[in-house]
Amino acid sequence: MSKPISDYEHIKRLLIIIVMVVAGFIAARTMFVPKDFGEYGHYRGGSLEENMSRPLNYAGSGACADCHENKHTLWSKSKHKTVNCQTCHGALLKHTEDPTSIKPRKPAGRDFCLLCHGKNVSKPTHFPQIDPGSHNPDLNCADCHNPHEPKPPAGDG
Amino acid sequence: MEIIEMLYKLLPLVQGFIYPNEIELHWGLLIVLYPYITGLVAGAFILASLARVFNVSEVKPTYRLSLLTALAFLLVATLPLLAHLGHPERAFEIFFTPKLDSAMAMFGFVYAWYLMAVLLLEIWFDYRADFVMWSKTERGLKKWFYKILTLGVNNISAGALELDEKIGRAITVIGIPSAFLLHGYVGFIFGSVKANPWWSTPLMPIIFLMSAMVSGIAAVMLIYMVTQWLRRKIIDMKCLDTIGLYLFNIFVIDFSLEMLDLIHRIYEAEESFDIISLMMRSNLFWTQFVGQILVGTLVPISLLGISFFFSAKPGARKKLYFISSILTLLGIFAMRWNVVVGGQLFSKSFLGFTTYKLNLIGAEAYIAAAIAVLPLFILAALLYLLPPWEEENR
Amino acid sequence: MADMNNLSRREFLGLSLKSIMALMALGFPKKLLAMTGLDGYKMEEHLWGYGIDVDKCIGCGRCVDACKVENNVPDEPFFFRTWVERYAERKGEKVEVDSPNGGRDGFPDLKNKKELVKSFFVPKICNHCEHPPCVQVCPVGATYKSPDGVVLVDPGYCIGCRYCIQACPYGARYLHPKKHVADKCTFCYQRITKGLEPACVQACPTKTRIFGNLKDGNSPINKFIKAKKVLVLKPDLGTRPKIFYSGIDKEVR
Repeated sequence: MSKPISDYEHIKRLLIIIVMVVAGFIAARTMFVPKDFGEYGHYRGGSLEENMSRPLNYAGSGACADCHENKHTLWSKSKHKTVNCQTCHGALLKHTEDPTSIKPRKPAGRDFCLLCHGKNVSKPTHFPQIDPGSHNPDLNCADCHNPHEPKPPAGDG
Repeated sequence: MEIIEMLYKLLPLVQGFIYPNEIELHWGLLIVLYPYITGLVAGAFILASLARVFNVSEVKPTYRLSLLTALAFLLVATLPLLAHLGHPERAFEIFFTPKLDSAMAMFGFVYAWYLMAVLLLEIWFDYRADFVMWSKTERGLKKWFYKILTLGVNNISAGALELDEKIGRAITVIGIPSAFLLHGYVGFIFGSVKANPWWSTPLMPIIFLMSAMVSGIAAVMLIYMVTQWLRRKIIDMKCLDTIGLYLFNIFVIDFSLEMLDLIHRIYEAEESFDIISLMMRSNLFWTQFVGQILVGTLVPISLLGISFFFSAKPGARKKLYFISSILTLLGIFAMRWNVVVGGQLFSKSFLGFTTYKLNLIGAEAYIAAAIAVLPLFILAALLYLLPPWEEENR
Repeated sequence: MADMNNLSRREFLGLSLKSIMALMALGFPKKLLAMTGLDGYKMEEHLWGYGIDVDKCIGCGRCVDACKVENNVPDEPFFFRTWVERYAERKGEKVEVDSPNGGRDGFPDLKNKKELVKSFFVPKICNHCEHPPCVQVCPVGATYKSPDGVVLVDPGYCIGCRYCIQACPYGARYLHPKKHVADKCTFCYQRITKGLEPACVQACPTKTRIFGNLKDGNSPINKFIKAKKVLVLKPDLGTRPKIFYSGIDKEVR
């Protein structure tokens, strides 16, 4: 305490602390902000690529044609041509890469067909629907209708 | 998985139709706590400013107490936010890559500004002379604590103190709009969500601000009475009456604004009104009509009114103030609950409700309870380290 | 932020696409590659749009199922990137709406047909708004609108504050129960950037769901918009959705 301290000394020291805090913040910011941030907008540019390169589970529509030519030809002319193969047979991208890896699902019984064709007052009236209670309740749909080429069974016409 | 178990329990409780993603109510008790705590901060600070900037000398005895109360609550204000984040370890991103058009991102900066540039500095300048004194008279760890706070400058000459006073005053002047900003902003976080008709109103920031002042003033009033009683000191009735009068006036304004908002909703009766009025009559009846409006607003306003207009005796006034400050604090908490939770009960399809059950939220309830009492411990520590009491210091 | 047409972006895009294509040449089935006619994806040449022809929807729920499978969406009935609602309007009564398990298991016929005026299905999905309120409120830039108009999430950057979920007027977002980040429809960004349709569009047996490039005059979506009178949901909020509905009813929100 030999030399007199200026009345501003404590303010000077406070300012030094404030400057240090701000500098620390700026330093931390340059360290922690990802390099690709702000490339296109206020987000990580790399995130676009990450979203693009997520794994797929469904193959493209028509991926089945090369191996299952007959079924595909039949189907592509039928009333079911708007129904994608994988809508009934499950996600099959792996199967197109390695046919032994996973097997296509084969819906059995009636429940799966009824998802679309079960009578329902909320469905558009022109869509073909049956009342499962009265429409041959003991038979499977595929007993009479070929799902790859659906039409009314002979004589029902 | 805990959350999925809870959602399965909530599924049968859904009334009407809600979008399937809406069963989980995302902002629960923790986010109710957040505007509540921030409101206490803003309110307590504004009470402190009354003494310093507006020269309301009657409330001088609570000046430092208000500042420390504000600090104690401000230090925990971010905890409920942090605790509810899916990834709290990424919270720093709000400061490093803030999105300028996001109200929440801007809140981070408003908070930091208010804590560091306003509250800490104001307290530091106000206590600096005391730090210097205490660093000489105290012993052991406490001595070092004060020594560090002096920044190694022991100069308490008249010139230096005058400088402190000037800067402190300037900070308070900046602090008032900052406190307004802090809590107005919290209101804006809700008020700007156009998807939610219960939140989306330009009145929201101003209602939040008024209710913040109400809760902060009530909190300091209660803390002042309790601490004086614990320390067996006499309560300054002039001070208490003045605080009570401010509480009464601001509370009336706050309540009028809330009613204006309500009347406006009822009169305009927009698309969402059916579901909102149903909610107010059923799901929110106890917390809004009973908790917030009746017990939490009309009763305390009446009690305060009675103490003024019938000029009750000091003993009776103290009791009235004590009860009304507690009811006020409960009422504002109910208000936060009704805004935050109420806004998420009804579906954005306006066709049904989900539910929020405190007994199903599990750990969140305990975390919220811990965060709610933490400021009281911090305040106790602050009162021990930075005694604000007039009679000992001046 | 709005104008993305700068050089550096194009350069970067060229690079990144080359690397993606190199990767795909290794790991992607060649057959599929040839079939989709993939010849390098250019973001700036695309603006993705989506149509829903409500009159065609049969409520089979295959779209919901395909979405969950393709994107590994949690199975539980609280998390949906797309779902199907059923509306039932009765004389003098308020509309009834339901969506059991998001419609994933189809819909059993309405039990009560008394006084029924009409009933129909409405598929829902993220609207990929031109002015997305979810993007506006995100405090850190963890959700954004891509240059080709898709609202995406960066799960490695999301802090899980759920503000975006609150801001979405359509209930299209949820918090992923394991990743603890916001999650939502991406139009199957992994598919559309490779020339494939989104899983829901591909799975739809009745062509209710239409998808395509709004910048291409002959795309299915532009043909749909030309042929039909289309509406968007909650237009009053100014979000400018890019999901265009045909055949929507006054009760649908």
